[in-house]
Amino acid sequence: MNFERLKDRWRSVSYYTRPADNSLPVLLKKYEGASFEDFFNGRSIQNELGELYHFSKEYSLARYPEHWEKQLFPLLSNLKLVTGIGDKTHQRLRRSGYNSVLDLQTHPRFGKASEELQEALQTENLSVMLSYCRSRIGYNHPDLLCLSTFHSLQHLCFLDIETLGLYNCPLFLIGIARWNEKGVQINQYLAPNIMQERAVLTACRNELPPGSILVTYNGDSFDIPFINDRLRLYQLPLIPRSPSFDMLLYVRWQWRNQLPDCRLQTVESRMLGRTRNDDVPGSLVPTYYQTYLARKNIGPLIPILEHNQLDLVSLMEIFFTMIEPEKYGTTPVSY
Amino acid sequence: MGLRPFRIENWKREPGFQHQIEHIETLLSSEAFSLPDELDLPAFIREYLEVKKIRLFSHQQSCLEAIRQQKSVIITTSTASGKTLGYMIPILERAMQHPEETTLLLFPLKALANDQWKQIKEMQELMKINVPAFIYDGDTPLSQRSMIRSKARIILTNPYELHYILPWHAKWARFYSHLGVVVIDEAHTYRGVFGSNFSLLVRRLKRICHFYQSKPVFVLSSATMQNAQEFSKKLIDESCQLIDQDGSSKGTKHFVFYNPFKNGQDTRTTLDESRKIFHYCISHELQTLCFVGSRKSTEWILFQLKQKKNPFNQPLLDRISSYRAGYLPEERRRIEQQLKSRELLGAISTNALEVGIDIGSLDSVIITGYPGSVISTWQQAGRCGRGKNESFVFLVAYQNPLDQYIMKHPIEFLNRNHEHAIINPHNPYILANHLLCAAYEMPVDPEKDSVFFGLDTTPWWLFFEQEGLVTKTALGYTYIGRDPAVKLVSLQHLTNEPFRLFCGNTLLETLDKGQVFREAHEGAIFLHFAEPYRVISVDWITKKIEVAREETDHSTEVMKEISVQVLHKRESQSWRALALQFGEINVKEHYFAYQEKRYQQVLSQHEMNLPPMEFDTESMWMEIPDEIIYTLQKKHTIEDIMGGLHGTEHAMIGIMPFYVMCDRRDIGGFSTMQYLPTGKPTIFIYDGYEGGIGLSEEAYRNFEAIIEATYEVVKTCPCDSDNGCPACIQSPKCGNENAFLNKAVTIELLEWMMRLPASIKKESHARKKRK
Repeated sequence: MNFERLKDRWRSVSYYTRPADNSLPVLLKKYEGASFEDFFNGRSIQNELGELYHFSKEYSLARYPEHWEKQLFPLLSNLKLVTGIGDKTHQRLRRSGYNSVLDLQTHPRFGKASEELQEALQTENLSVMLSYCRSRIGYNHPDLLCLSTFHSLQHLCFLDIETLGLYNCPLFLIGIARWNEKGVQINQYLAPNIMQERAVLTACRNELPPGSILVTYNGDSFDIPFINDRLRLYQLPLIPRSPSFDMLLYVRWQWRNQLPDCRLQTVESRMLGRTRNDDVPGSLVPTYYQTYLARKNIGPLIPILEHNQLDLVSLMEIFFTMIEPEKYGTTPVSY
Repeated sequence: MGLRPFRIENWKREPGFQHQIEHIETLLSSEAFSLPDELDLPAFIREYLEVKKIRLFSHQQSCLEAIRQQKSVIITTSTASGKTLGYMIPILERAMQHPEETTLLLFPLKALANDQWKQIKEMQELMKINVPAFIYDGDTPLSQRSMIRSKARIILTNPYELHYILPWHAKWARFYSHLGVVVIDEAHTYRGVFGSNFSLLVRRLKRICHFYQSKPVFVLSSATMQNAQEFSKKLIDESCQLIDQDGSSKGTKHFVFYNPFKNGQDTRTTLDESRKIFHYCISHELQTLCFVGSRKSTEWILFQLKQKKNPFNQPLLDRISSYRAGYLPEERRRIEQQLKSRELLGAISTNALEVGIDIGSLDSVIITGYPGSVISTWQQAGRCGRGKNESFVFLVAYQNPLDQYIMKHPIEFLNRNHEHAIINPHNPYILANHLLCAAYEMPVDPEKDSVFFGLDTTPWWLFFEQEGLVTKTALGYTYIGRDPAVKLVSLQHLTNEPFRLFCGNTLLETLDKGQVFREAHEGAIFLHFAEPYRVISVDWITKKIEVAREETDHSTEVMKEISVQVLHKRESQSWRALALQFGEINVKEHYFAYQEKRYQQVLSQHEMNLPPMEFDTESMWMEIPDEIIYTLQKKHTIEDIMGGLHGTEHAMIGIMPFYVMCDRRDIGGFSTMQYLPTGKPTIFIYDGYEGGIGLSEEAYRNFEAIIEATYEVVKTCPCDSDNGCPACIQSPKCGNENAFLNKAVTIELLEWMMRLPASIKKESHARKKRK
């Protein structure tokens, strides 16, 4: 079979033929001969499904909670949690001195509903509480974020993945960030080639202890189902979808009308006041990875690792911003 | 007034008709036949059959038996023999026995799916059962899709939709895990390029089912064909039980072979004869359907009839309508309904009415020109005579070799078990497209998954990997191209980026590159749904073609120069000392000009500046031995001998559709006195589609039948011109304007080719075994 004739047909969809940006040759030159061990404490680790690279880095955050304890007041002060209370009633009751849902226990009309709510909260089961509250004040109301305080800060796992496309394709990098007393500990799991995708998925699952709560950006729609699709394909056990906090949804709820869009980097620049230089655009990530594979040069992956780390840092800061609105304010920079 | 009833004896004697009748065959009626009833049907089905006063025919019973035994079947009984009931009964039986089981029904047209869904709903209402059945296609609103995916137990869809949703199999996990039966309706429509694409789609589906651990039984419902079992094996990669004995009742059918050119050419035209017969039939209270080849023809007949206005005719004329695919759906539904209720006495239609849609049963059918396949002929003929009454079919011939051959061989035609349906799941271009789609759906392990594609696909994957289209994962190769593979692959085409034809902003059609060169070049008159458009511009880079509607009866025909190069000889055989070969060739077709014509008359010629179209394809070729040439040279010049080769090539191509299900336009030919590498006179007959779709291969295997028929056509043709006529050696798509043809030499050449002693030796150079 002469394959020459087939070449033309699929040329336009191959990443090899797309002219990448100008940075790629620079990167290849700069990092020629370098190895993963030279960056971010890179080391090769093995598990039962293969071999992957692990990177770790610590960051200190500009925004973080000084105390972390179970704090439900922001949620409870939203009287609309109780069935039957809308905007107007909420205002009226507040003016009458009812500051929290707990105060409504003795209310003739809303007492029963208030008790039901408290029962739900007493289960201390985050999924139950979330679904109960969501149906009443809105799926993505920022006041819901304080429910995360039921668990210790270590239980929160901030997650972001990098893939070779949007659907039906492999992922190659999973980044997980967790809080430790000094700041943020980021662990990244990289597949040195796609044969090791399973190893990366398993390492990620091992990293997530039972009871961990995933915090992502667009993860409910993309990252978590993506990981689960890949796990299903390899016939590995899945990760639970819930409870999880997808910050994109809360960001949209809060700032939809004040920001041009709700992309992570937009929020990063307008709310956190940070801009990135020379960041690799998301659409080029697959090309970069494939260039690394073809040239056996780790250069293209360095910006991807950095990009993933910065994404996680911003994700955490956005979370901490929204969970303490009085401290950090809720007004983005406007022009 | 009093319309007299139609009697065939009277019609035969009409002066206007009697001299053109070649033959009338009377197909006798048959009683319904059912096997003794030991079916043990569940109560709800028995009651349904009683209420509808239905007794299952033998073929429906056989279908039930086979499905109960988990055997895949292909049913090839005639139209309106109740094939649908034949498969719906076992499906509903299974559905009630296994509450989780799901069924997939595939129809080539949305209108058929809609019809079918209504029938299923009706059946369930009468049976008092509820097996959730839904149509899932391009018209299904987004808001409903999620619900349907989770609830449906019967899904009705079409191949295009299936092709798009197969990558989303994770959302259909429940449905695929419990898939018990897959029905492929109108299976004979899956041939040629479309059929080859479809066969690979089925293989992808089977692979997905395998992952979800289901192994559905297949039911192929088809029109009659010669090679049903071979075809079904190619189509779904599985052996099917053949059910072809039709147990339904049939009334007497008279099949008339009517040849306007029986006595040579005079002033008659085929279309006008059809019109006359049509007029006669409806004047005698026969509800008649007249099939014609183009929309223009439907309008022409209607126009001619309306010219003959008088009080006698007017009520008749009010009960006639034309029908074609270009009409709005509401109009078409209305006409179909009126035919069913007998409000309309007659309709003139393109082959849009050939397929399945219920219009009741008519009294007679007129088929203007052989529709190109025996299957189509019987589909069209099947529109009349369902039930006990007498019915009449008139086949009116055109002046071309094929039609004339049929006129002279009516019995052979009627006894023919229909052509071979041709598909080629191994066409490399189509295979490549679908391998990439499969890799997009789910990683492909060449060792384990090659069984689904019927060949070792390892070299393909290495190639794709090299090109950066796939990468290896622990489960196999997965697609990593920039765009979803399924979006780039069209089931209608060989290429993955077909040309798009626009009229203003509306997308009319998509075309393969070859079609663009031959039919849609700048200045061409292009027929879309049998309506003419003028091609204004072709952008080869963006692959966009701009056309505009034009009211015209002109047509255009390209003129071309061809050169051919043998790449690889796969097989050879000697046939009566002719050396026949089959293998791969490279073809360069250079379209240098086109002619604008009105019917057969050339009005103008225009130069074209196109690059040559080059492609690799499969071909059969034959070298003419030196002895024959020397003998011919004694009486004829080299030019005349060339005329003989050329004539042979045309005549063979003209006859081929009788044996191989294709149109003569699907086949290309090239003949030369000196094929350069060998220096020998050679005739090539090749597939007009890149990679080959099995046509020339079939010709190679059926060579004897084809050459004998070719000889007969040319020898017995009554024309007396030196370079023949359209009925024998002239071709409508000859790039050289049918110049350089010599009828006498063609006949001599064929005689020499056939006279040498019969000895067939096959030498196979084939390394790959074809299943």
